[in-house]
Amino acid sequence: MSESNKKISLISSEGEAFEVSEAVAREFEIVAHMLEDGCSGSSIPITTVDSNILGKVIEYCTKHVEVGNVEGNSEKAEKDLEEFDKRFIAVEMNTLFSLILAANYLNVKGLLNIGCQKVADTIKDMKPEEVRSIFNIENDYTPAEEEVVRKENEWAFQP
Amino acid sequence: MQPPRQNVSKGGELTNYRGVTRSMTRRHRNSLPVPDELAMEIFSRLPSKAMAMCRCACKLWSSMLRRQDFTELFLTKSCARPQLLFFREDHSVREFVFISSPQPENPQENSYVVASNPLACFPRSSGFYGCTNGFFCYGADRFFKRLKFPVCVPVICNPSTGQSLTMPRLISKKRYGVQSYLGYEPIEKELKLLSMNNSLNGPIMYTYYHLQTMCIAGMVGTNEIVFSPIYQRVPYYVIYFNVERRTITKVGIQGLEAFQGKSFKTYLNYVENVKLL
Repeated sequence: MSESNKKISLISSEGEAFEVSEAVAREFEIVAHMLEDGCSGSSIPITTVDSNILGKVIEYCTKHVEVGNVEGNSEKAEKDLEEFDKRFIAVEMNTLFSLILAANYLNVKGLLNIGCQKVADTIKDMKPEEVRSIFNIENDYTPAEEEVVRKENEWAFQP
Repeated sequence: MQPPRQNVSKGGELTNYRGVTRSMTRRHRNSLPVPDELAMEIFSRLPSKAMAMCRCACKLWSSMLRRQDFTELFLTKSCARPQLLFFREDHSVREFVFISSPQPENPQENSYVVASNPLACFPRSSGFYGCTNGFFCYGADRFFKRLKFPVCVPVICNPSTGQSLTMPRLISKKRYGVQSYLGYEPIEKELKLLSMNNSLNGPIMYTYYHLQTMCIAGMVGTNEIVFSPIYQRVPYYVIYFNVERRTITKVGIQGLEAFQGKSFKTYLNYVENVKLL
């Protein structure tokens, strides 16, 4: 890791530069692959992610790199990281989906994982009406069709 | 420097999908604000009860949850995390009750799991023939024209979708003695049911083990035999016997307290399958 102090600039869709250490940039697997492929530039355009979201993804990766660097990864550190993830992902739905899209594009597996899980956990205990309202879904079943689909899935409505 | 290229990772838990950030102009108004592949990744993390709710939300979600690529993704994930399944089939109830919990491997002493995944119930009837790939097969009495007495026919059901399908009866002069076996053919991805006549005359022989208190529920991995009590006690538990290390470990099951004193059977390596019949 002779180049671990090297800084890399990640450029958001608005053209804003975020300077990060190479270790943090490598958390973006897409960037890690570029570096391995011999790209030598020090600024990388991330044209599809805006500054707000890019900043958050960098915050996530920085924290994970910091904890990963601690010698003898203790149980406490892991717990802290779990707590951090929980707080980090407690954002409103639009931001959550933007984070998921960015994590997928940049290939940050940990973030993609907690993002998808967070959406699933939100849906988990909801009735169809609640699902519709939170995701702004139009009920396109006719009353007759809805009765059929409800009947098919009747068991799930039982307490 | 060139814009980054998209990586597609193979193996591991997550798959990265191409084209995520491409224009989404052709999206359906009811889709989640992510490409279908990511929406399926999210749906695949739902318990089956929540999936049933989502099928009722709108047509698009319902069709996504029925898609073969989705049900196969879900099955692949379920196979990677088989569950413990508890089913109540005692004669005092009118329904088979299914509840599942995570299935520990090499558990620690005094550990416990929570049976918190309630699945669909089915009318109780004459008994279980078997389970494969998330589907169960049981015998149910059905009346047929010109027959005076009901005939036991095999029914295939899936506790993760609530669906059941009555199979054709085996034409036989005997009212009892037809035994059915359920299997899964992985190449064609088909369930196969074998029904055959028992050579014994008269009612099927049932064997009861009144004297025993524990029975072998099955094996987890290659070296752990799991025993479960025949009659449920509260707190409920299962015993892991590691044949390699010769250790016995008790694992508590929480979440079944409401069924105090009732009889449950424990089924190992249950794989949830949301494929619709």
